[in-house]
Amino acid sequence: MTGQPDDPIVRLLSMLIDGNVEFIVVGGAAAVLSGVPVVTKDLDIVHKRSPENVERLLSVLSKIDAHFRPDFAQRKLRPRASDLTGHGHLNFDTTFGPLDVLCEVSGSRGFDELVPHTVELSDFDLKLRVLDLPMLIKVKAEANRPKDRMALPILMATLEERQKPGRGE
Amino acid sequence: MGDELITQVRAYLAEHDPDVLAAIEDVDRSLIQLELQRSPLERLVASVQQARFYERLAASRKSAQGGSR
Repeated sequence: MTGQPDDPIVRLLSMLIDGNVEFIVVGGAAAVLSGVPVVTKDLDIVHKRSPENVERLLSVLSKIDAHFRPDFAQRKLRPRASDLTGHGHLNFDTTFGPLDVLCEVSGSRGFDELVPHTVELSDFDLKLRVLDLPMLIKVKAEANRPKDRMALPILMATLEERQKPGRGE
Repeated sequence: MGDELITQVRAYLAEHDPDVLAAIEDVDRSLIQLELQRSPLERLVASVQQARFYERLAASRKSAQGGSR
């Protein structure tokens, strides 16, 4: 599409969408997509753990040469379906940069639990399902790690700015 | 639903982490307003490109420090 920003992270998102993977953008990328002025270097997603969707995700991961990171021994370990149906966080390096595939966030919130707390963003040719700011804030508050506590004020301030009349997107 | 969540978070912070709650007022809102003028994808690309720049900068400083020893 004309004018779409050309960047590896956009290509990564396009690959997931073109592969019909059902996923939610979470973490720093979700914050940035919602207008939070922070820097993020990777893409975090929560995927639907149905067998069909895991198959589609595995297919995309194979096409983008996804392998676990860090990979000190350079063994290029690839994910298996059983990894993607579990509960953990899977960190990959891919052709298009780092991708973190999270089975669940903040305890036991998976795709199905998070979907009611998402917004659908359409920009250029991409339609993305993104975790909304209130749930992102709640997840950060629950995580209670120093880096999450540091992010809370700017997340809350962004939410306040977005709630001002005429600011919503 | 969102307002309810934020009320819960604010109540939690008021009780357990009042410094974080107070810091919300210190945030420079002009940065947020600038970001909201861009489209979501433009924001994301700008953000990751900035992160890569910082990484390259950190790597070059590290290698310069290593070379000067």
